[in-house]
Amino acid sequence: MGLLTLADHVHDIAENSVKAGAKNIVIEIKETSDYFWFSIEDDGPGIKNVEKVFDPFFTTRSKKVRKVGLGLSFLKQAAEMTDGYVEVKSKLGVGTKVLAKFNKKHIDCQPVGDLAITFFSLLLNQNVNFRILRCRNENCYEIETRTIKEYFGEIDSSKKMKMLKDLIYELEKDIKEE
Amino acid sequence: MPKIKSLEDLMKIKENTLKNVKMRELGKRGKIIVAMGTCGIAAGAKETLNAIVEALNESNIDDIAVVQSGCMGLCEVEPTVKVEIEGETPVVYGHVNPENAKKIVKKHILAGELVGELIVKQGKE
Ligand SMILES: Nc1ncnc2c1ncn2[C@@H]1O[C@H](COP(=O)(O)OP(=O)(O)OP(=O)(O)O)[C@@H](O)[C@H]1O
Ligand SMILES: [Mg+2]
Repeated sequence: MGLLTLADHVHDIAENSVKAGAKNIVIEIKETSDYFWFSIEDDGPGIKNVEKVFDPFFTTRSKKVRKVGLGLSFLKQAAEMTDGYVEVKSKLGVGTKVLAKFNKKHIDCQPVGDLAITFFSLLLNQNVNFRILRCRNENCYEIETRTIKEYFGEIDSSKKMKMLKDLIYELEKDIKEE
Repeated sequence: MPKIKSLEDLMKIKENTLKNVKMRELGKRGKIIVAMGTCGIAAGAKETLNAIVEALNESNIDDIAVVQSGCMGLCEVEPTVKVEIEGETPVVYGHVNPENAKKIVKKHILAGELVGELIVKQGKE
């Protein structure tokens, strides 16, 4: 078992920021035909033992629920398989930044996967301010929690969820076609 | 020059459609909780969430909230979904792929019947 797509990794790392209690999370993704690079920066509490963070047995979650912390070690393994890298920078009381690069042309690179549903799922956490910048070659799109609140208010009905989801898919489709 | 399109631009174009959705604020009679921990994500919980949104929307159900939680500690049976309806015992369903998600919406949410074969846990803890 493991995370199967690059979108899953983005999701999982951003979920760490959400769970850590970050108020602001900035996600940047730059993709070309050669590489997939992302950066996820939060203003959460930071990580005390950054050097241990890739250890699959390092987790601060309740041991009743979770005995292992797999997210970051999955990411490291998957990125390094493509001759890419992962970097975690963290400062207690300031926040955490995770950067990763995957070489898409490498035979072991996982597929990009569904970024639209990843963003949608993250954006449903409306108590967190997200800023997402997603680029594919020269084309980018940007999504902010602030704008969603302005136009939708709370995403509290299936109509709104469906509409937000469709909008994100449309943005994603646009940068794929251009 | 990179071109940046924003969600805001797109929303401006669709402002009229958006106005209609914005109005109705209904009370909720329950919620569906999708576990979105690492094991949930690995097992396809995003596709499950997607299917739930589609199914609720298709059936015009607006009194059920959809929320996400961390790992529920039931990795072997992910994706898992918890259904909490007011005045009912909470139910956790396992192996909720998109097809099973639709079934849960149709049976449990719409018809008020449990989907017996998918239940992995019932009750508070
Ligand atoms: N953005 C962050 N802010 C603060 N702490 C973090 C952050 N990201 C990770 N951590 C810490 O690093 C630990 C390991 O993270 P990792 O994603 O590898 O595993 P996990 O989240 O504990 O479990 P899993 O991802 O398998 O559900 C976490 O338990 C948490 O203590
Ligand atoms: Mg994690």
